[in-house]
Amino acid sequence: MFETEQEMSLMFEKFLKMNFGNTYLKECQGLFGVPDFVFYAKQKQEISIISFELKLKNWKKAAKQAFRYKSFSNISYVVLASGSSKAALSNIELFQKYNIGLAKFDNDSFFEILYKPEIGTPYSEELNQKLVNTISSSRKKSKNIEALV
Amino acid sequence: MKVYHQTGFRDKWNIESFRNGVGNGLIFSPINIDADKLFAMDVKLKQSGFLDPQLYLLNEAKGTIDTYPYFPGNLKPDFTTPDLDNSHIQLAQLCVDYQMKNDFHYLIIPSRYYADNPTTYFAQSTDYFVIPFCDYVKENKIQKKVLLSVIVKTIMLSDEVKRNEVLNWITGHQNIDGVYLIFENNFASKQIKDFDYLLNTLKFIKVLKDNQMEVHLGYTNTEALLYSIAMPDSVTVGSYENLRSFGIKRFQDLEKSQMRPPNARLYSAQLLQWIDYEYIQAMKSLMPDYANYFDESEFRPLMFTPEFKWHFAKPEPYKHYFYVFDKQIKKLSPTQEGRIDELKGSIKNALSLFKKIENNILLDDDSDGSHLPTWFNVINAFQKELTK
Repeated sequence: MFETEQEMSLMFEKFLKMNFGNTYLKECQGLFGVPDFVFYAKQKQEISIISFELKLKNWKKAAKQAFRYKSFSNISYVVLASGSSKAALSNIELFQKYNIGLAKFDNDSFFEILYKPEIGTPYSEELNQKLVNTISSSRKKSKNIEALV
Repeated sequence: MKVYHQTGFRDKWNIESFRNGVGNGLIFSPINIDADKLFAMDVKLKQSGFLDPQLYLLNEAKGTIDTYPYFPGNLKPDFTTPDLDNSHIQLAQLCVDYQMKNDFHYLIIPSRYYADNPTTYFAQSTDYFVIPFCDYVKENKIQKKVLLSVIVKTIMLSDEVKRNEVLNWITGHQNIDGVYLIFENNFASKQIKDFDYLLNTLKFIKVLKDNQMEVHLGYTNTEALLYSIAMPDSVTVGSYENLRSFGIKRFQDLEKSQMRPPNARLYSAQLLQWIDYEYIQAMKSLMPDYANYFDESEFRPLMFTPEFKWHFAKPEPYKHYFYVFDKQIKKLSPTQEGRIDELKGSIKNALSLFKKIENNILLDDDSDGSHLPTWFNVINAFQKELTK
Protein backbone atom coordinates (compact mmCIF):
# COMPACT_ATOMS: atom_id res chain seq x y z
CA MET A 1 0.00 0.00 0.00
CA PHE A 2 1.24 3.48 -0.81
CA GLU A 3 1.40 5.87 2.14
CA THR A 4 1.05 9.01 0.04
CA GLU A 5 0.21 10.04 -3.51
CA GLN A 6 3.73 11.40 -3.80
CA GLU A 7 5.13 7.94 -3.11
CA MET A 8 2.76 6.47 -5.69
CA SER A 9 3.78 9.14 -8.18
CA LEU A 10 7.51 8.48 -7.73
CA MET A 11 7.06 4.77 -8.23
CA PHE A 12 4.78 5.27 -11.23
CA GLU A 13 7.36 7.56 -12.80
CA LYS A 14 10.00 4.85 -12.49
CA PHE A 15 7.55 2.36 -13.96
CA LEU A 16 6.76 4.64 -16.91
CA LYS A 17 10.43 5.25 -17.62
CA MET A 18 11.33 1.60 -17.49
CA ASN A 19 8.43 0.26 -19.53
CA PHE A 20 7.43 3.06 -21.88
CA GLY A 21 10.42 5.39 -22.05
CA ASN A 22 11.01 8.85 -20.68
CA THR A 23 8.68 10.62 -23.10
CA TYR A 24 6.50 12.22 -20.47
CA LEU A 25 5.83 15.50 -18.70
CA LYS A 26 5.15 15.55 -15.00
CA GLU A 27 2.40 17.73 -13.49
CA CYS A 28 2.08 19.78 -16.62
CA GLN A 29 0.52 23.23 -15.92
CA GLY A 30 -1.52 25.55 -18.11
CA LEU A 31 -3.88 22.92 -19.51
CA PHE A 32 -7.35 21.95 -18.27
CA GLY A 33 -6.45 20.57 -14.86
CA VAL A 34 -2.99 19.32 -13.91
CA PRO A 35 -2.42 15.71 -14.97
CA ASP A 36 0.11 13.77 -12.92
CA PHE A 37 1.75 12.53 -16.10
CA VAL A 38 1.37 13.31 -19.77
CA PHE A 39 2.96 10.58 -21.84
CA TYR A 40 3.60 11.10 -25.53
CA ALA A 41 4.56 8.92 -28.45
CA LYS A 42 5.70 10.17 -31.82
CA GLN A 43 4.94 8.07 -34.84
CA LYS A 44 6.02 9.71 -38.10
CA GLN A 45 4.26 13.11 -38.03
CA GLU A 46 1.67 12.11 -35.45
CA ILE A 47 1.92 12.61 -31.73
CA SER A 48 -0.30 10.57 -29.43
CA ILE A 49 -0.90 11.94 -25.97
CA ILE A 50 -1.90 9.84 -22.99
CA SER A 51 -2.67 11.48 -19.65
CA PHE A 52 -2.64 9.82 -16.26
CA GLU A 53 -4.38 10.85 -13.07
CA LEU A 54 -3.06 8.99 -10.05
CA LYS A 55 -5.14 8.61 -6.91
CA LEU A 56 -4.92 6.62 -3.72
CA LYS A 57 -8.71 6.76 -3.44
CA ASN A 58 -11.73 8.78 -4.63
CA TRP A 59 -12.16 7.26 -8.08
CA LYS A 60 -15.01 9.61 -8.96
CA LYS A 61 -12.95 12.74 -8.45
CA ALA A 62 -10.17 11.11 -10.46
CA ALA A 63 -12.61 10.29 -13.28
CA LYS A 64 -13.75 13.92 -13.43
CA GLN A 65 -10.13 15.06 -13.62
CA ALA A 66 -9.30 12.47 -16.26
CA PHE A 67 -12.27 13.60 -18.35
CA ARG A 68 -10.83 17.12 -18.37
CA TYR A 69 -7.57 15.79 -19.77
CA LYS A 70 -9.45 14.51 -22.82
CA SER A 71 -9.45 18.16 -23.87
CA PHE A 72 -5.82 17.79 -24.92
CA SER A 73 -5.15 14.03 -24.85
CA ASN A 74 -6.04 11.15 -27.13
CA ILE A 75 -6.42 8.88 -24.14
CA SER A 76 -6.84 9.59 -20.47
CA TYR A 77 -6.37 7.10 -17.63
CA VAL A 78 -7.30 7.02 -13.98
CA VAL A 79 -4.66 5.03 -12.13
CA LEU A 80 -5.77 3.91 -8.70
CA ALA A 81 -3.81 2.30 -5.93
CA SER A 82 -4.70 -1.39 -6.07
CA GLY A 83 -6.52 -1.35 -2.75
CA SER A 84 -9.06 1.20 -3.87
CA SER A 85 -9.62 0.01 -7.43
CA LYS A 86 -12.48 -2.33 -6.46
CA ALA A 87 -14.97 0.49 -5.95
CA ALA A 88 -14.05 1.96 -9.32
CA LEU A 89 -14.32 -1.43 -10.98
CA SER A 90 -17.85 -1.85 -9.70
CA ASN A 91 -18.62 1.45 -11.46
CA ILE A 92 -16.83 0.51 -14.66
CA GLU A 93 -19.84 1.61 -16.74
CA LEU A 94 -19.00 5.24 -15.89
CA PHE A 95 -15.52 4.79 -17.37
CA GLN A 96 -17.04 3.11 -20.42
CA LYS A 97 -19.68 5.80 -20.83
CA TYR A 98 -17.14 8.63 -20.80
CA ASN A 99 -14.37 6.64 -22.52
CA ILE A 100 -11.90 7.08 -19.68
CA GLY A 101 -9.23 4.47 -19.03
CA LEU A 102 -8.97 2.71 -15.69
CA ALA A 103 -5.89 0.99 -14.32
CA LYS A 104 -4.53 -0.15 -11.00
CA PHE A 105 -0.99 0.14 -9.74
CA ASP A 106 0.66 -1.20 -6.61
CA ASN A 107 3.93 -0.72 -4.79
CA ASP A 108 5.43 -3.77 -6.49
CA SER A 109 5.07 -1.78 -9.71
CA PHE A 110 2.35 -4.10 -10.85
CA PHE A 111 0.25 -2.21 -13.40
CA GLU A 112 -2.96 -3.63 -14.78
CA ILE A 113 -5.35 -2.01 -17.21
CA LEU A 114 -8.93 -2.64 -16.12
CA TYR A 115 -10.53 -0.70 -18.92
CA LYS A 116 -8.76 0.39 -22.07
CA PRO A 117 -10.57 3.30 -23.75
CA GLU A 118 -10.78 4.00 -27.44
CA ILE A 119 -8.33 6.51 -28.85
CA GLY A 120 -10.06 9.84 -29.49
CA THR A 121 -9.53 13.31 -30.86
CA PRO A 122 -8.81 15.89 -28.14
CA TYR A 123 -11.73 18.27 -27.61
CA SER A 124 -9.58 21.38 -27.67
CA GLU A 125 -7.39 21.86 -30.69
CA GLU A 126 -5.75 24.82 -28.97
CA LEU A 127 -4.74 22.93 -25.82
CA ASN A 128 -3.62 19.93 -27.83
CA GLN A 129 -1.51 22.18 -30.05
CA LYS A 130 -0.01 23.83 -26.98
CA LEU A 131 1.19 20.43 -25.79
CA VAL A 132 2.32 19.35 -29.25
CA ASN A 133 4.42 22.53 -29.50
CA THR A 134 6.10 21.68 -26.20
CA ILE A 135 6.74 18.11 -27.21
CA SER A 136 7.58 18.39 -30.90
CA SER A 137 11.24 19.33 -30.47
CA SER A 138 11.90 16.42 -28.10
CA ARG A 139 14.13 13.64 -29.44
CA LYS A 140 13.17 11.17 -26.76
CA LYS A 141 11.75 7.86 -27.88
CA SER A 142 8.80 6.01 -26.44
CA LYS A 143 8.30 2.26 -26.42
CA ASN A 144 5.50 -0.27 -25.94
CA ILE A 145 2.80 2.34 -26.49
CA GLU A 146 0.53 -0.38 -27.92
CA ALA A 147 0.10 -1.67 -24.36
CA LEU A 148 -1.69 1.57 -23.43
CA VAL A 149 -3.62 2.26 -26.62
CA MET B 1 -35.96 44.33 -8.43
CA LYS B 2 -33.02 46.33 -9.70
CA VAL B 3 -29.68 45.07 -10.96
CA TYR B 4 -26.58 47.09 -10.17
CA HIS B 5 -23.18 46.62 -11.71
CA GLN B 6 -20.64 45.83 -8.99
CA THR B 7 -17.70 47.57 -10.61
CA GLY B 8 -14.03 46.97 -10.05
CA PHE B 9 -11.12 46.24 -12.38
CA ARG B 10 -12.22 46.77 -16.01
CA ASP B 11 -15.19 48.89 -14.95
CA LYS B 12 -15.41 50.12 -18.52
CA TRP B 13 -17.14 46.82 -19.44
CA ASN B 14 -19.85 47.61 -16.89
CA ILE B 15 -20.12 51.22 -18.01
CA GLU B 16 -20.42 50.21 -21.67
CA SER B 17 -23.10 47.65 -20.81
CA PHE B 18 -24.97 50.13 -18.65
CA ARG B 19 -24.89 52.71 -21.45
CA ASN B 20 -26.44 50.02 -23.65
CA GLY B 21 -29.34 49.61 -21.25
CA VAL B 22 -28.10 46.68 -19.17
CA GLY B 23 -28.67 47.08 -15.43
CA ASN B 24 -30.15 49.90 -13.39
CA GLY B 25 -27.00 51.57 -12.13
CA LEU B 26 -23.38 51.25 -11.11
CA ILE B 27 -21.78 50.69 -7.71
CA PHE B 28 -18.47 52.51 -7.86
CA SER B 29 -15.28 51.10 -6.38
CA PRO B 30 -12.73 53.61 -5.02
CA ILE B 31 -9.85 51.14 -5.10
CA ASN B 32 -10.32 50.94 -8.87
CA ILE B 33 -11.13 54.48 -9.95
CA ASP B 34 -9.34 57.70 -9.06
CA ALA B 35 -11.54 60.16 -7.12
CA ASP B 36 -11.01 62.99 -9.63
CA LYS B 37 -11.72 60.68 -12.55
CA LEU B 38 -14.96 59.58 -10.91
CA PHE B 39 -15.85 63.19 -10.18
CA ALA B 40 -15.31 64.08 -13.84
CA MET B 41 -17.47 61.20 -15.05
CA ASP B 42 -20.81 61.91 -16.73
CA VAL B 43 -23.21 62.60 -13.87
CA LYS B 44 -25.92 60.56 -15.59
CA LEU B 45 -23.84 57.46 -14.89
CA LYS B 46 -23.70 58.32 -11.22
CA GLN B 47 -27.22 59.52 -10.51
CA SER B 48 -28.67 56.04 -10.73
CA GLY B 49 -25.96 54.31 -8.71
CA PHE B 50 -23.92 54.73 -5.58
CA LEU B 51 -20.45 54.66 -4.13
CA ASP B 52 -19.18 51.87 -1.92
CA PRO B 53 -16.83 53.96 0.30
CA GLN B 54 -14.63 50.87 0.96
CA LEU B 55 -13.29 51.81 4.37
CA TYR B 56 -13.32 48.13 5.24
CA LEU B 57 -9.69 48.14 6.29
CA LEU B 58 -9.68 51.79 7.32
CA ASN B 59 -6.19 52.81 6.28
CA GLU B 60 -5.08 50.18 3.76
CA ALA B 61 -4.08 52.24 0.71
CA LYS B 62 -5.08 49.71 -1.93
CA GLY B 63 -5.27 50.99 -5.49
CA THR B 64 -6.64 54.50 -5.85
CA ILE B 65 -8.56 54.70 -2.57
CA ASP B 66 -6.03 57.18 -1.17
CA THR B 67 -7.16 59.70 -3.80
CA TYR B 68 -10.48 60.04 -1.95
CA PRO B 69 -10.76 62.97 0.46
CA TYR B 70 -12.27 60.80 3.21
CA PHE B 71 -9.45 58.23 3.10
CA PRO B 72 -8.18 58.23 6.72
CA GLY B 73 -4.52 58.41 5.66
CA ASN B 74 -5.29 61.81 4.13
CA LEU B 75 -6.48 63.11 7.50
CA LYS B 76 -3.47 61.82 9.37
CA PRO B 77 -0.60 59.62 8.23
CA ASP B 78 -0.61 56.21 9.94
CA PHE B 79 -4.22 56.65 10.92
CA THR B 80 -5.36 53.88 13.26
CA THR B 81 -8.63 52.95 14.98
CA PRO B 82 -8.02 55.16 18.09
CA ASP B 83 -7.71 58.16 15.75
CA LEU B 84 -11.37 57.70 14.91
CA ASP B 85 -12.16 59.13 18.35
CA ASN B 86 -11.04 62.56 17.15
CA SER B 87 -11.62 62.26 13.44
CA HIS B 88 -14.91 60.42 12.97
CA ILE B 89 -16.95 63.60 12.49
CA GLN B 90 -14.53 65.02 9.93
CA LEU B 91 -14.32 61.68 8.16
CA ALA B 92 -18.11 61.46 7.96
CA GLN B 93 -18.38 64.99 6.60
CA LEU B 94 -15.75 64.40 3.94
CA CYS B 95 -17.34 61.12 2.92
CA VAL B 96 -20.86 62.62 2.67
CA ASP B 97 -19.54 65.72 0.84
CA TYR B 98 -17.77 63.60 -1.75
CA GLN B 99 -20.87 61.47 -2.34
CA MET B 100 -23.07 64.59 -2.56
CA LYS B 101 -20.70 66.32 -4.99
CA ASN B 102 -21.03 63.32 -7.29
CA ASP B 103 -24.80 63.25 -6.97
CA PHE B 104 -25.15 59.52 -6.42
CA HIS B 105 -28.63 58.15 -5.92
CA TYR B 106 -27.95 56.90 -2.39
CA LEU B 107 -25.60 57.99 0.39
CA ILE B 108 -23.69 55.07 1.81
CA ILE B 109 -22.46 54.78 5.39
CA PRO B 110 -19.22 52.82 5.36
CA SER B 111 -18.46 49.72 7.37
CA ARG B 112 -15.29 48.25 8.90
CA TYR B 113 -14.10 44.71 8.28
CA TYR B 114 -12.53 42.48 10.92
CA ALA B 115 -11.57 38.84 10.57
CA ASP B 116 -13.33 38.42 13.92
CA ASN B 117 -15.52 41.27 14.95
CA PRO B 118 -14.61 42.71 18.37
CA THR B 119 -17.33 42.66 21.02
CA THR B 120 -17.61 46.44 20.66
CA TYR B 121 -18.11 46.22 16.90
CA PHE B 122 -21.68 47.48 16.74
CA ALA B 123 -21.19 50.18 19.37
CA GLN B 124 -18.06 51.37 17.53
CA SER B 125 -19.80 51.33 14.17
CA THR B 126 -22.67 53.35 15.59
CA ASP B 127 -20.38 55.93 17.20
CA TYR B 128 -17.80 56.25 14.44
CA PHE B 129 -19.96 55.94 11.36
CA VAL B 130 -23.76 55.83 11.78
CA ILE B 131 -24.25 58.77 14.17
CA PRO B 132 -21.82 61.25 12.58
CA PHE B 133 -23.14 60.41 9.10
CA CYS B 134 -26.79 60.74 10.04
CA ASP B 135 -26.14 63.92 12.06
CA TYR B 136 -24.34 65.55 9.14
CA VAL B 137 -27.09 64.50 6.71
CA LYS B 138 -29.71 65.98 9.04
CA GLU B 139 -27.80 69.22 9.74
CA ASN B 140 -27.43 69.82 6.02
CA LYS B 141 -31.01 68.89 5.26
CA ILE B 142 -29.88 66.33 2.72
CA GLN B 143 -32.83 64.62 1.11
CA LYS B 144 -31.06 61.61 -0.39
CA LYS B 145 -31.80 58.15 0.94
CA VAL B 146 -29.18 56.71 3.27
CA LEU B 147 -28.02 53.10 3.14
CA LEU B 148 -25.94 51.46 5.83
CA SER B 149 -23.32 49.08 4.47
CA VAL B 150 -23.09 45.86 6.45
CA ILE B 151 -20.74 42.96 5.95
CA VAL B 152 -22.63 39.85 6.99
CA LYS B 153 -20.24 37.20 8.22
CA THR B 154 -21.18 33.53 8.09
CA ILE B 155 -21.44 33.36 11.87
CA MET B 156 -24.04 36.14 11.79
CA LEU B 157 -26.22 33.84 9.74
CA SER B 158 -25.59 30.55 11.46
CA ASP B 159 -25.64 31.72 15.10
CA GLU B 160 -29.11 32.86 16.12
CA VAL B 161 -27.85 35.13 18.90
CA LYS B 162 -25.42 36.88 16.58
CA ARG B 163 -28.03 37.06 13.84
CA ASN B 164 -30.50 38.76 16.16
CA GLU B 165 -27.78 41.09 17.40
CA VAL B 166 -26.95 42.34 13.92
CA LEU B 167 -30.60 42.54 12.86
CA ASN B 168 -31.48 44.50 16.01
CA TRP B 169 -28.56 46.81 15.37
CA ILE B 170 -29.55 47.47 11.76
CA THR B 171 -33.25 47.96 12.44
CA GLY B 172 -32.53 50.11 15.51
CA HIS B 173 -31.32 53.08 13.44
CA GLN B 174 -34.13 55.53 12.76
CA ASN B 175 -32.43 57.64 10.13
CA ILE B 176 -31.39 55.07 7.61
CA ASP B 177 -33.58 53.97 4.71
CA GLY B 178 -32.00 50.65 4.06
CA VAL B 179 -28.93 48.49 3.85
CA TYR B 180 -26.25 47.63 1.36
CA LEU B 181 -25.64 44.05 2.45
CA ILE B 182 -22.47 42.20 1.63
CA PHE B 183 -22.41 38.53 2.50
CA GLU B 184 -18.87 37.38 3.15
CA ASN B 185 -18.17 34.30 1.05
CA ASN B 186 -15.64 31.81 2.40
CA PHE B 187 -16.81 28.89 0.33
CA ALA B 188 -14.28 26.93 -1.69
CA SER B 189 -16.78 26.07 -4.42
CA LYS B 190 -17.84 28.53 -7.09
CA GLN B 191 -21.52 28.09 -6.24
CA ILE B 192 -22.89 28.16 -2.70
CA LYS B 193 -24.18 24.70 -1.85
CA ASP B 194 -24.74 25.12 1.88
CA PHE B 195 -28.43 24.64 2.72
CA ASP B 196 -28.33 26.37 6.12
CA TYR B 197 -26.31 29.32 4.83
CA LEU B 198 -28.70 29.96 1.94
CA LEU B 199 -31.85 29.52 4.02
CA ASN B 200 -30.52 31.79 6.76
CA THR B 201 -29.61 34.40 4.16
CA LEU B 202 -33.18 34.38 2.86
CA LYS B 203 -34.53 34.69 6.40
CA PHE B 204 -32.10 37.54 7.10
CA ILE B 205 -33.27 39.50 4.06
CA LYS B 206 -36.91 38.80 4.93
CA VAL B 207 -36.54 40.24 8.44
CA LEU B 208 -35.14 43.47 7.00
CA LYS B 209 -37.88 43.69 4.40
CA ASP B 210 -40.49 43.02 7.10
CA ASN B 211 -39.03 46.07 8.84
CA GLN B 212 -39.71 48.20 5.76
CA MET B 213 -36.06 48.62 4.88
CA GLU B 214 -34.61 48.81 1.41
CA VAL B 215 -32.32 45.84 0.94
CA HIS B 216 -29.56 46.02 -1.66
CA LEU B 217 -27.38 42.95 -2.04
CA GLY B 218 -23.79 43.44 -3.12
CA TYR B 219 -21.33 40.97 -4.59
CA THR B 220 -23.93 38.46 -5.72
CA ASN B 221 -23.40 35.67 -8.20
CA THR B 222 -26.01 33.29 -9.62
CA GLU B 223 -27.53 32.86 -6.13
CA ALA B 224 -29.02 36.35 -6.61
CA LEU B 225 -31.84 34.48 -8.35
CA LEU B 226 -32.43 32.44 -5.23
CA TYR B 227 -32.22 35.53 -3.02
CA SER B 228 -34.84 37.19 -5.20
CA ILE B 229 -37.56 35.15 -3.48
CA ALA B 230 -36.92 37.11 -0.27
CA MET B 231 -37.86 40.23 -2.27
CA PRO B 232 -34.71 42.37 -1.93
CA ASP B 233 -34.65 45.71 -3.77
CA SER B 234 -31.56 44.98 -5.82
CA VAL B 235 -28.86 42.45 -6.62
CA THR B 236 -25.60 42.86 -8.51
CA VAL B 237 -23.75 41.59 -11.54
CA GLY B 238 -19.98 41.64 -11.64
CA SER B 239 -17.33 40.63 -14.11
CA TYR B 240 -14.46 38.84 -12.35
CA GLU B 241 -15.19 36.32 -9.62
CA ASN B 242 -14.02 38.67 -6.85
CA LEU B 243 -16.89 40.98 -7.79
CA ARG B 244 -19.42 38.19 -7.48
CA SER B 245 -18.19 36.90 -4.14
CA PHE B 246 -16.96 39.12 -1.32
CA GLY B 247 -13.56 38.41 0.17
CA ILE B 248 -11.39 40.92 2.02
CA LYS B 249 -8.34 39.97 -0.06
CA ARG B 250 -9.62 42.30 -2.75
CA PHE B 251 -8.96 45.23 -0.43
CA GLN B 252 -5.59 44.15 0.83
CA ASP B 253 -2.40 45.31 -0.75
CA LEU B 254 -1.02 41.91 -1.76
CA GLU B 255 1.17 43.02 -4.63
CA LYS B 256 3.59 40.15 -4.38
CA SER B 257 1.03 37.41 -4.12
CA GLN B 258 0.75 35.21 -7.19
CA MET B 259 -2.74 34.39 -8.39
CA ARG B 260 -3.51 31.60 -10.81
CA PRO B 261 -5.72 33.01 -13.56
CA PRO B 262 -9.12 31.34 -13.69
CA ASN B 263 -10.39 29.54 -16.78
CA ALA B 264 -12.85 31.42 -18.93
CA ARG B 265 -16.47 30.52 -18.20
CA LEU B 266 -19.76 31.25 -19.86
CA TYR B 267 -23.00 31.81 -17.98
CA SER B 268 -26.07 29.90 -19.09
CA ALA B 269 -29.43 31.22 -17.88
CA GLN B 270 -31.01 27.86 -18.71
CA LEU B 271 -28.47 25.92 -16.69
CA LEU B 272 -28.28 28.49 -13.84
CA GLN B 273 -24.54 27.94 -13.94
CA TRP B 274 -21.26 29.18 -15.37
CA ILE B 275 -19.70 26.52 -17.59
CA ASP B 276 -15.96 26.25 -18.04
CA TYR B 277 -15.10 27.04 -21.62
CA GLU B 278 -13.17 23.77 -22.01
CA TYR B 279 -16.38 21.85 -21.31
CA ILE B 280 -18.08 23.88 -24.01
CA GLN B 281 -15.36 22.64 -26.37
CA ALA B 282 -16.14 19.07 -25.30
CA MET B 283 -19.87 19.74 -25.77
CA LYS B 284 -19.12 21.06 -29.24
CA SER B 285 -17.37 17.78 -30.12
CA LEU B 286 -19.96 15.48 -28.58
CA MET B 287 -23.30 17.30 -28.74
CA PRO B 288 -24.51 18.68 -32.07
CA ASP B 289 -27.06 20.92 -30.30
CA TYR B 290 -24.55 22.28 -27.77
CA ALA B 291 -25.19 25.92 -28.70
CA ASN B 292 -28.83 25.63 -27.62
CA TYR B 293 -27.75 25.45 -24.00
CA PHE B 294 -26.46 29.01 -24.17
CA ASP B 295 -28.43 32.22 -24.45
CA GLU B 296 -28.68 34.67 -27.30
CA SER B 297 -26.87 37.99 -27.03
CA GLU B 298 -24.98 40.29 -29.34
CA PHE B 299 -21.75 38.69 -28.04
CA ARG B 300 -22.69 35.07 -28.64
CA PRO B 301 -22.01 34.89 -32.40
CA LEU B 302 -18.43 36.09 -31.91
CA MET B 303 -17.78 33.81 -28.93
CA PHE B 304 -18.95 30.79 -30.88
CA THR B 305 -16.72 31.41 -33.89
CA PRO B 306 -13.71 29.06 -34.12
CA GLU B 307 -11.35 32.07 -34.21
CA PHE B 308 -12.48 33.40 -30.82
CA LYS B 309 -9.64 33.07 -28.33
CA TRP B 310 -11.22 32.33 -24.97
CA HIS B 311 -9.52 33.95 -22.06
CA PHE B 312 -10.79 35.01 -18.65
CA ALA B 313 -9.75 38.62 -19.34
CA LYS B 314 -11.83 38.98 -22.51
CA PRO B 315 -14.90 41.22 -22.21
CA GLU B 316 -17.44 39.25 -24.26
CA PRO B 317 -18.29 36.46 -21.77
CA TYR B 318 -18.85 39.06 -19.01
CA LYS B 319 -20.86 41.44 -21.15
CA HIS B 320 -22.90 38.44 -22.27
CA TYR B 321 -23.51 37.58 -18.60
CA PHE B 322 -24.51 41.14 -17.69
CA TYR B 323 -27.03 41.15 -20.51
CA VAL B 324 -28.42 37.66 -19.95
CA PHE B 325 -28.59 37.86 -16.16
CA ASP B 326 -30.14 41.33 -16.15
CA LYS B 327 -32.81 40.03 -18.52
CA GLN B 328 -33.32 36.94 -16.36
CA ILE B 329 -33.83 39.07 -13.22
CA LYS B 330 -36.10 41.52 -14.99
CA LYS B 331 -38.30 38.68 -16.19
CA LEU B 332 -39.00 37.52 -12.64
CA SER B 333 -42.54 37.79 -11.36
CA PRO B 334 -43.25 40.87 -9.24
CA THR B 335 -44.85 38.65 -6.58
CA GLN B 336 -43.05 36.41 -4.13
CA GLU B 337 -45.32 33.47 -4.89
CA GLY B 338 -44.75 33.93 -8.60
CA ARG B 339 -40.98 34.06 -8.19
CA ILE B 340 -40.96 30.91 -6.10
CA ASP B 341 -42.93 29.00 -8.71
CA GLU B 342 -40.82 30.34 -11.57
CA LEU B 343 -37.55 29.54 -9.87
CA LYS B 344 -38.63 26.02 -8.99
CA GLY B 345 -39.56 25.52 -12.64
CA SER B 346 -36.21 26.91 -13.80
CA ILE B 347 -34.32 24.62 -11.44
CA LYS B 348 -36.22 21.55 -12.65
CA ASN B 349 -35.54 22.56 -16.23
CA ALA B 350 -31.84 23.14 -15.53
CA LEU B 351 -31.52 19.75 -13.84
CA SER B 352 -33.04 18.00 -16.83
CA LEU B 353 -30.68 19.87 -19.17
CA PHE B 354 -27.71 18.85 -17.02
CA LYS B 355 -28.88 15.26 -17.25
CA LYS B 356 -28.70 15.50 -21.04
CA ILE B 357 -25.25 17.09 -20.94
CA GLU B 358 -23.99 14.46 -18.52
CA ASN B 359 -24.93 11.72 -20.95
CA ASN B 360 -21.84 12.87 -22.81
CA ILE B 361 -19.77 15.10 -20.58
CA LEU B 362 -18.47 14.38 -17.09
CA LEU B 363 -18.62 17.85 -15.53
CA ASP B 364 -16.70 18.82 -12.43
CA ASP B 365 -18.35 20.20 -9.30
CA ASP B 366 -17.85 23.82 -10.38
CA SER B 367 -19.58 23.46 -13.75
CA ASP B 368 -22.30 20.94 -12.96
CA GLY B 369 -25.75 21.35 -11.43
CA SER B 370 -24.85 20.10 -7.95
CA HIS B 371 -25.95 23.39 -6.35
CA LEU B 372 -29.47 23.10 -7.75
CA PRO B 373 -31.00 20.38 -5.53
CA THR B 374 -29.83 22.47 -2.54
CA TRP B 375 -31.49 25.55 -4.01
CA PHE B 376 -34.70 23.61 -4.52
CA ASN B 377 -34.70 22.39 -0.93
CA VAL B 378 -33.93 25.88 0.35
CA ILE B 379 -36.91 27.27 -1.56
CA ASN B 380 -39.19 24.63 -0.05
CA ALA B 381 -37.91 25.36 3.44
CA PHE B 382 -38.30 29.11 2.94
CA GLN B 383 -41.84 28.59 1.66
CA LYS B 384 -42.63 26.82 4.93
CA GLU B 385 -41.16 29.78 6.83
CA LEU B 386 -43.47 32.12 4.95
CA THR B 387 -46.56 30.25 6.09
CA LYS B 388 -45.50 30.25 9.77
